[in-house]
Amino acid sequence: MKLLINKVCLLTGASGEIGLGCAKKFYENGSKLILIYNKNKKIIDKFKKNKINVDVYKCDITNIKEIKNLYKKISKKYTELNVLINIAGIMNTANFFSEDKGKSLIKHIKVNLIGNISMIKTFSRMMIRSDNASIVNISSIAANSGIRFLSDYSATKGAIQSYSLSAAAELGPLGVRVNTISPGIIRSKIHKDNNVDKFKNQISLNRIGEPEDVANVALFLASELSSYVNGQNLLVDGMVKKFKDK
Amino acid sequence: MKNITKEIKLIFSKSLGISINEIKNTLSYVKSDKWDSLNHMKIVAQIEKKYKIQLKMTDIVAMETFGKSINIINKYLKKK
Repeated sequence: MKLLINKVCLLTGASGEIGLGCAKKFYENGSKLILIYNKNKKIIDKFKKNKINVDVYKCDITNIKEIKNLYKKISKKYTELNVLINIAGIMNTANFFSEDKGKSLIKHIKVNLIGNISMIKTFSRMMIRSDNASIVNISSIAANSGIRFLSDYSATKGAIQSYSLSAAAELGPLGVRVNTISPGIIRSKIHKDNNVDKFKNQISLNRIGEPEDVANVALFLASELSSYVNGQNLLVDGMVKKFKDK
Repeated sequence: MKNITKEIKLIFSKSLGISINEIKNTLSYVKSDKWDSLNHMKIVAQIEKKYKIQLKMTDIVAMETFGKSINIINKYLKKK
């Protein structure tokens, strides 16, 4: 059974592993896709090849003018938007005592928080025209775990959870659900160290998560199957027993 | 130009949960218990969907009676 037939779904961060995993999953489920990328056009073009109902746009979500232009283009083609999945994000490690004058923190806030919030604020206008719309924000287990060298990252991921909860209360009565997914350690380039398998003994399911694991939950939250789920944060981490960074 | 009053009345009726007969030009956001900020956005969303328009925030705020709402929507439809 296809779960997103004729649903218009917008995905940011579509050229990353989780983004691409979601795009594949949503396409298989009959969605009309709007894929947003900032870098790595080649990956998106490869995915788009020979597919119908897939639109691709470049947008830097930290630039509100680019978001407004994106909105103009998309609202010309579609009257309503059913699903928004905010995947775009950055994760840089930073030593607590590094003297970067707050640059790392500001960068994380601009992308992970302001960028995603700007997308929600801009596109929710199109979403309230739909009968049952869904926004999914990607947070992280770092928001609630306390992980060394990730304080800037985890602060923004915690903030997007809080924001989502209030947005869920505000948009829920207008027919738009807002939920977050908190992935654990997922095999992707965001972990610059490719050897993420070393963490698997810290996970009760004894394996690292794959992008598809996140995509499956995103599909659930985007679809009517979760029509009574709002303001929730779903952990997709295989149950981390106790996270250690070594 | 097409008379949109009947269509808009239907949208107001569904969004506010009141009978079409209760909707007069003087129906007011301030005086009506049913017409709150939430239902106001429902009305806006349905109007935008039906007529494929995007209302400016200043106009959304200015839609404080049914009569004014009709005038504002007509302004957009003339531009189309």
